[in-house]
Amino acid sequence: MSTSDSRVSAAVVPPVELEEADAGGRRRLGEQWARLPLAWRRADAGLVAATQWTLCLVGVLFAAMITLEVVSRYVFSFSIYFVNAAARLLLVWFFMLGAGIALRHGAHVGFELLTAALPPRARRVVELVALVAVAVFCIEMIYAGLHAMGPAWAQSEPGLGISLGWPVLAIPVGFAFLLYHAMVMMWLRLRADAA
Amino acid sequence: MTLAVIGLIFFATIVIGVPIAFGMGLAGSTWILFFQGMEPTILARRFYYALNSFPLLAIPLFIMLGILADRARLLPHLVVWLQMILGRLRGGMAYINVVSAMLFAGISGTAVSDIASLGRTLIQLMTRAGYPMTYSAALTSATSIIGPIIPPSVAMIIYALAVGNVSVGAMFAAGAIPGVLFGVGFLVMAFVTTRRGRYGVVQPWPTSRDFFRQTLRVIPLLALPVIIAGGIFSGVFTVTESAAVGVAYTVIVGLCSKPRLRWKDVYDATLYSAVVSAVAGMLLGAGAIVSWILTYNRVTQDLADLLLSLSVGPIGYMLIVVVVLLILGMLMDAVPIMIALAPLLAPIAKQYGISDVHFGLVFVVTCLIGLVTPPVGIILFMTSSITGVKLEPLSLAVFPFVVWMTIVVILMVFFPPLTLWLPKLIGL
Repeated sequence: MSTSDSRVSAAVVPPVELEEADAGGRRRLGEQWARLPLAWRRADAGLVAATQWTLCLVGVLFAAMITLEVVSRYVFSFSIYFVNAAARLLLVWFFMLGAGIALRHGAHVGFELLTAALPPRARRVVELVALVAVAVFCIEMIYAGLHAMGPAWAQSEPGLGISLGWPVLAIPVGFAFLLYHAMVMMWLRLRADAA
Repeated sequence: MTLAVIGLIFFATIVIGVPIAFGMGLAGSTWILFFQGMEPTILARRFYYALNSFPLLAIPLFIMLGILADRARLLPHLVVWLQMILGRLRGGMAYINVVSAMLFAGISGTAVSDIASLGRTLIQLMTRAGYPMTYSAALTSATSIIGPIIPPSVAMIIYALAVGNVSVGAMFAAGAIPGVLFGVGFLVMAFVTTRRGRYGVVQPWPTSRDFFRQTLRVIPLLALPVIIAGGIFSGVFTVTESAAVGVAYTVIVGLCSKPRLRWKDVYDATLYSAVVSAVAGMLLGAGAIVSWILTYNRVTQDLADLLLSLSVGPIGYMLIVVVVLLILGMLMDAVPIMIALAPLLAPIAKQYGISDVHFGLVFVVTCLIGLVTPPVGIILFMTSSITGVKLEPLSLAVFPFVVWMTIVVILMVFFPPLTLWLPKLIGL
C-alpha cells in the first residue's frame, strides 16, 4: 500500500502553470514596460490590462451563449435565434482586440531565419523597417475600415436587428490599437539603438 | 504586371521578418488601394467577412478547452491512470506518451496547446522515470502532431474556411484513421527504441483499490471526446457548439473537482486563446484579401491550366504538392502555408477530380509535419525552450518520426480509402 501510494503521489504532476508555456509573452511585456517612461508605462499597462480583461469577458460570453443556446434547443426545444449573430459579432471584436496583444507578445508568426543571421546593427534596422511595414498595413486598413463605416451604419445586421456598424467598427478600432502597439515596438526599437 | 508587384511586396516583407499575416495584408491592400484604385470598402468588407463566421468560433473555443482540461486537473489524472495500466511494460512511459496524446487529441485541437499543456507533464514523467531527455522531448514533439489530426482539429477548421465549401465534419472523420496510423507507428518505434536502449524503470502493478479510484477520476475526461466527436458526427451539435459545450463541461467538472478551478485559470485560458486565435484570425483576414485578388485576376485558373497542360495525373499532382509543402514546412509555420496556398491548390485538385476531403487531409497533414521539421518548426522551438535540449540534437531525434509521418502521407495519397472510408461510413 505504502509503496503504491508514494509512486502515485510522485506521479501526480501538478498542472503545468501557463506562465511556463506563455512565459515569452508575459516576460516580453514586462521587459517592454521596464523600458518605457513612467507615465507612458502606466497608461500602456492600463490599456493592456483593460484589453485583456475585455478579451476574457468576450471569450466567456460567447462560450456561455452558445452553450445556453444548445441547452435551450434540446431541453426546452426553443432556439435562441440571436445567439449565432451575437457570437459572431463578439468573435470579430475578440480577434481584432487580441491581434494587438498578440503583437506585443511577439506571437504573430513570421519568417525570422534571415534576420536572425544578420549582424546586430543591420538586424535592428531591418526589424525597424519590418515594423514600419506592419504600421503601413494598419494605416491602410484603418483608412479602408473608416470608409466602410458609412455604408455599414446604414445597413442592419439581420440576426440582431442592430446596425451592421457595430461589428464592422471592430476593423478600424482593432487596427488603430494594432497601430498603437506597433508604434510602441518601434519606439522601443529606436531607444535600443540610442542606448 | 501589377500582380508581380504585389508578389514582390509580399516576398520582400516576408524576407525581412514581417509577420506573414501583415506581409500578405500589406501586399493585398496596397494592390487594391493604390494599383487598382478600388473602393476601400471592398478591403474592409473582405477582412470583416473572413472573421465574421460561426465555424471560425470553434478555434478560440477549442484552444480554451485544451488549457482548461489541464487546469481542471483532467490531464494529470489521465497520465497517472495510463501509468497504472502501462507502467508494467518496459518503455511504458513512452507508450503513455503516445496513447495520452491520442486520447487528448480527441479534446484539444492544436499541437501547440498540446505541448503547452500535456507536453511538459509527459516530458517530466519520462525523464523522472529514467528516459533520456532528448528522446523524451523528441517523442513528445512527434506525438503532439497527432492532436490536430485526430478530430477535433483547429488546423482542419482553418483549412476548410480558407478553401470554402469543404465539410469540417467530414474532414474530422477523415483524420481519424491517419491519426491512429501515426500513433501505432510511434508505438512500434517506441517499442524498438526503448528495448534497444533499455530505457526506463519498470513499475509494479497498482493495487486494485488505487486503480479503481483513479479510474473514477479519469472518467470525466474520457467522456469529453465522446461528447465532442459523438456530438459532431451524430449531428447533435455543430463543430462550434461541440467546442462550447466542451468548455462549459470542463468548467463544471473543474468546479466540482477537489483543487477547484479558479477564476485565474479561466482568465489565463481565454487570454491564451485570444492571443493564439487572433494570430490565426489575422492570417485568415489577410488571406481572404489575397485569395480574392488571385481569383479576381484568374491566377488560380491560369495555374490550373498550366498544371493540367503538363499532364501529370492526379497522383502526380498530389505528390508534387506534398513535396512543395514539406519543403515550405521547413521554412514556415503550418497555418500561413495553409492560408496562402490552400485556396490556390484545392480548386486545381478539384479539376483533377480529387475529392475535397482527400486532398484537404493530405494537405493539412503534410503542413503539420512542418511543425517538427527544422530549421523552422514551432513545436521544435517550444519543446526546446521547455526542456533546454538544443535544436540540433532534438531535430535529429525527431527525424525517424518525421520519416514515418511522411510514409503515412504517401500512403494517404495512394490509398484514398484511408481518409475517405470513415466519413462515407458515417454518412458525412
